[in-house]
Amino acid sequence: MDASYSQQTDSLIYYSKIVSNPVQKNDLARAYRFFTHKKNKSSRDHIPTEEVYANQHLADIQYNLGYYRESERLNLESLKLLDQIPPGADELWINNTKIKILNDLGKNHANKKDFKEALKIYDKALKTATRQSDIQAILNNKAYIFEKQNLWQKALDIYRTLYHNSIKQNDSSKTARYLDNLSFLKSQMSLPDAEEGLLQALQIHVKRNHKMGMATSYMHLLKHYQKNADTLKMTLYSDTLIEISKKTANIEIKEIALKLKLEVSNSPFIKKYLNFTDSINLAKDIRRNQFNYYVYQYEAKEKDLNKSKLQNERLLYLIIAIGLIFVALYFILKYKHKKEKIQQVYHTEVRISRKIHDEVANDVYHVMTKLQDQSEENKTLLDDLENIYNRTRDISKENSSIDVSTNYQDLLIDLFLSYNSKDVNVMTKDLHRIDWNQLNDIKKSTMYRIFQELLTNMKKHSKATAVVFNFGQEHKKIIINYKDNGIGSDLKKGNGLQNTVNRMESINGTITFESEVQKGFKVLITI
Amino acid sequence: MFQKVLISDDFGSINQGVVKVLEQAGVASIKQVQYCDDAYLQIKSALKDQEPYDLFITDLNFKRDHRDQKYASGEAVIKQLKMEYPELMIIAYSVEDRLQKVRYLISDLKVNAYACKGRNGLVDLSKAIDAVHRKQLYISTQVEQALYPRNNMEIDDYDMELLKQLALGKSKESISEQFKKDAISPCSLSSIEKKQRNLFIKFRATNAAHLIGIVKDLGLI
Repeated sequence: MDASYSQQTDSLIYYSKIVSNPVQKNDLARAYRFFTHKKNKSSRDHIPTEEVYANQHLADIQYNLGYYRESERLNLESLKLLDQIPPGADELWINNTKIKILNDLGKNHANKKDFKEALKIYDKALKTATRQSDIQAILNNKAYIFEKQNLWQKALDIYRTLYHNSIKQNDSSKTARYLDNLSFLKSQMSLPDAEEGLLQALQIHVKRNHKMGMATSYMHLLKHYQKNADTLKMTLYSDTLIEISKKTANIEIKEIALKLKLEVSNSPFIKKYLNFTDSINLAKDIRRNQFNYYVYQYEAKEKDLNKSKLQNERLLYLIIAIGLIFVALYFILKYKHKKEKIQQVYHTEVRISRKIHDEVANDVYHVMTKLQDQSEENKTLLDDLENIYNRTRDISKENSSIDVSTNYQDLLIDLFLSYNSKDVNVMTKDLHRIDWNQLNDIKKSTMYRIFQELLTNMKKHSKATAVVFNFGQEHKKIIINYKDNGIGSDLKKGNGLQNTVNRMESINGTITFESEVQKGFKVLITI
Repeated sequence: MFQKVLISDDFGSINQGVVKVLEQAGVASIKQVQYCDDAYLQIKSALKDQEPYDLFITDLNFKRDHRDQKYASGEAVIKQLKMEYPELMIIAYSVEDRLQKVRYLISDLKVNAYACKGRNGLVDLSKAIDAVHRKQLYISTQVEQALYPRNNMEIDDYDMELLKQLALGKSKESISEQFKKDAISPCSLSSIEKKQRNLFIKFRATNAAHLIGIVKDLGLI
């Protein structure tokens, strides 16, 4: 596994090198075969990064071979593949590859003389570029465009900066390239020391045995001499260039070498022919490339549209989520408000009950004590007063504060016991089986009040001798059955029991009554 | 009889009734106050003068007014006094008839008597004074349930089983047999008799048929 992997990487590096500097005549063809195979394999295996890598080398090969249109097509394809790589992959690699592709595309546009588009692409590349070498390469290409647009001063500034930077960095390859570019521009601008610079750059290329660089240098020198009408040097260098072009696989160099050789000949027919073929090729290139580029642009726009659709969908979900949160908040606040209201009612009841006790019941009792030691004739009066006193006390008791935080079961037992008298027994069944902790304090207080009201009602009206509270638990609900053996009632509206219905509603419980005259009184409570 | 008694109640006229009761009982020195703080100070200073009170009768609820009180309720001052002078006799005399309150005062604060204000309030109070003097606990009848065992009124599974058997018209003997067979304890004839008697009391029934009638009316079986 490891061996085959390292072998694979080895061959990758080998062919990658061949692409950037082909030596043998069939080098590029071999590399092309290798990377095509590689590309197809990674496409089948769905490894987009490897596919892009292979594809880029294919694009480079095509560019080196002078097939700019094919190179551009591959570059656009790579760009599409890059976009398909899911996020979270090696961002740095994606970024660098993208810059390289954009750079190559820009060069392709420049070759098609679509300078506006080329500049746009280079600016795009500059925005994403972070590596110094990338930025330099892009700037160099930009300067080349300016040069082609005759914006010489702009181009000159960039070349100069790049050249000085490369000297500082002691990078001979770059120094040669930038010096060559700078000097060739100077030649076109008819500035002095152009020839000197061009020769110096050639020197470096020769020293490094860089075929492509040498070819470019010669081309530039030839053009310089052509401009200055130095036919002697032109003839000399065009011959050398033809020699070199024979040694490289780059047909463009071969073509230029021959073309320059023809141009040296000075024949008007040849010049006419050259101009003619130039314009034909240019027109063809422009047509094809524009088509390619706009196809890609159209697809990119389509993709953007889908993306924005997706964003719209996301926005919709977000709005729905926010809406749900608001609804939830509304219910929480409503619940809280209801709770506060119940609490408030409870406090008001307690306050009023205390007032009734302190101010009314005590006063009545006060009058009663005054009468207590008087003669027999006050007895009926005293009876009536006692009746009033007891009723006032009942009102007070029904609304007084209850400390439900302690043992609620004992509290209920005490309540039931307090209604036991010589006339009636209040009994319970399965009271101990209920876990009262499942109710909050408000619910506990409310239940207490309801039991109290039922019992007071029983005491007042029922004439019962036995009462049973039967407790049960069903799932999360507590069910309480009240039954007495009293005279029952016909359940007219407006007797004190309406209050218990209101109380149960306030804590989301239910209470139903069932009674017939002489058949006792039955109540079903669920909470 | 008691020699020196302190009465604390914010209603002077109620105190008058109490004073009358005490006078009838033959108490020589009777002092009245209307605030709990005053009561506390009176008892403390009397003790200092070596003329202590032997009985303290107090209400539980005091109306709040402009005077800020350290002891806002009878309960608070009882708690303090019983802590400092456990030997002082105290009768709580109040309209309060909630059992847990009464139980708390008797069991936890150790008041010596609890008399409910009401129609027979003064009668209850004189009974309380009499009982406390004889070193006996007194509680008014309407709150005497406070000291009863709490599970007294619960109908348990045994009761239910017994009621079912009685409803079938079975004799105590055959119920005892049945319970033995079903391993329900207690199953002795005497236990069953006792339990049945308890059920008669609980449901206020006069005989087994009456009991079953009531239980059916109550929907228990």
